[in-house]
Amino acid sequence: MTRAVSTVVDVSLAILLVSAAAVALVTIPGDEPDPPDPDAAARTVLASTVTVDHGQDDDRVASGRVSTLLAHAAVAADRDPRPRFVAAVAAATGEIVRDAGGRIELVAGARDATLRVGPRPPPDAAVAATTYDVPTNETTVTVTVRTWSP
Amino acid sequence: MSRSSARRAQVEPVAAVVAVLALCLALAAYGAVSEGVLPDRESSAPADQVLDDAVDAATAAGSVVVSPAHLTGDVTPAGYEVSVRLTASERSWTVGADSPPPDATSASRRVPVRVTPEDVQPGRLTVEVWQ
Repeated sequence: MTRAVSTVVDVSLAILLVSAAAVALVTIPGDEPDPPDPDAAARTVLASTVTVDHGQDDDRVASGRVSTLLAHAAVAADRDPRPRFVAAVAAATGEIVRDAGGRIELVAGARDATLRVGPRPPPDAAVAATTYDVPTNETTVTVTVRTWSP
Repeated sequence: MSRSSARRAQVEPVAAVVAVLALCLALAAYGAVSEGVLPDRESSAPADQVLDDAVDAATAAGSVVVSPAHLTGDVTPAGYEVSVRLTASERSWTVGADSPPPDATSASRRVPVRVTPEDVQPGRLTVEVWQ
């Protein structure tokens, strides 16, 4: 009698463990997906070309690669925090970031000024970043490209 | 030996059969769940390698910009079919084999694309590889 009862208890325990294992398998999340390749994102955005209208009229137009314009805008922001040129470059490069599929943040730093373009990564995302040095006329601007998985 | 110890050595046959069946069912259910949840490891087609080759082939030497004119389906490994698609600013270019099946392995990467000689736009290069 004792043995028969013990069989039932044993098997119940075994089934309980097996179902606990199945539940754990389903509920425990897998590895975070790797963030996308930051080099590919950086090349895609920084090598793209933009044209920026930054004057009252249409006569003040700058065009070039995103990396170059961003570096010049960072230097300009260091001299004078709110010139039209900086806002215009930020808007135009923000559009490039959107065209590239989003989830990219550009941070350009020149001396004391930092210019940010694009959305901030969410706090719980796995972020990958790469940094480029972009030479301008008188200084070198550090451009950091950050990207993350959805 | 008492009578009761002789009974202790025996397992109730019905209870034993039911127990074994229940345990088998539980293990089978676990197997079915793990089959569905665990990622399948035999991702057979070498899509990542083909993607690297396709991006390299479409990029001019000394540049990082992909040009649609250099796009080639000439990166197909033996025994596979490859379709290469490049999209940028609502335009798209496709080379290689037609009509990939739904179960083709695909890989894609963001690339800068020379849309016109003066204009580089963000785009995406996608390869689909199947046997």
